[in-house]
Amino acid sequence: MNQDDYNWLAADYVLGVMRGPEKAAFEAQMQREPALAALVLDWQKRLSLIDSTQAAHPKVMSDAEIDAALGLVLERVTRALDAEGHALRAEDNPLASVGKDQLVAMRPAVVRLIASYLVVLERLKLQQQKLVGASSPL
Amino acid sequence: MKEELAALIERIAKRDRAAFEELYRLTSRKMFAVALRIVREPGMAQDVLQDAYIRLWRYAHTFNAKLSAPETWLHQVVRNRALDLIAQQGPTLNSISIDQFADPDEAEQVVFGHAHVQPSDEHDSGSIMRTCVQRLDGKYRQVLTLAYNHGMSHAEIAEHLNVPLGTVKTWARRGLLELKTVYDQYQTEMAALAMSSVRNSRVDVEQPGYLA
Repeated sequence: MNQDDYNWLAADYVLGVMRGPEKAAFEAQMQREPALAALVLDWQKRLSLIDSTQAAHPKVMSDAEIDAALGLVLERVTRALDAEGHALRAEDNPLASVGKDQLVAMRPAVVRLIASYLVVLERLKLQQQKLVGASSPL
Repeated sequence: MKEELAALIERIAKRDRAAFEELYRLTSRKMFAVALRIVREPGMAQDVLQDAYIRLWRYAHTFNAKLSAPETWLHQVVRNRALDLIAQQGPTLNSISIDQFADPDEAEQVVFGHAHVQPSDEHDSGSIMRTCVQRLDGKYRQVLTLAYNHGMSHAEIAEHLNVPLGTVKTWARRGLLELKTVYDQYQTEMAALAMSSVRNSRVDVEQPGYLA
């Protein structure tokens, strides 16, 4: 396939006439080949001129209906983003998925772990003092 | 407007919800029109918009202002979601008459993006854009419009215009070639417009009694 073929593929993709498996294959190829992605960007800029002449027909929806529809979409998007944020925070904190009963059951083990840590810390301190004492001048 | 949108997308990439809501306020009307022209059903257009703005939130970090204008980028996100939806729905959805979604005469047009007052230079660039597009041969412009703005395939355009499929494909190719030339002219005219505004602002500053 030569540069000209790639150029037409990019144009058809942006124009929207590429469909189904051909479109999916092109998108996968675009991820791998930056040169193809650059051709797509060029056609996006050119075809944006076509959109500049467009308007929506006033008969389809009134201004009030459009406002209501857009408000509803924003509400739905906000809810989805809140849920997504909550899920992400839960992913960041592994304990978020642990139930209250499980946490209570884990308590003795956690107390033992902390106690062991304190004992080790105390021993290290003693050892450090001994080392300092041994190395100090008479 | 372009810089404002780019700055908002940059903030959205850093998870700024206020920036997201501001971007939605500035762009959703126009994007709703983009979706509606393709799916031709208000409920479906709402679904497209919902999906597109969630994607925008997730992928804002991939936007590169050096490569593409923010509105073009957002437009592509919305168009892709709308085209995916009509592909999933099959021919039944897009068989809804295009007539009520096609543009009326210029005088009757109600532009969805009209809620936002544009500065005069954007009006100028808009009129240059429209003038450039008018330079395209009528039948080529029609094929490109039906495909790009209404999400129609070659076959659907052939049926709609009652011309052979091969003719539609040829017109689309020739239209794209003409568009390439027209876009180059548009770029040149925009550069000339930018130069003349710089010159005018210098003249204003040099005028005696000029108040900043």
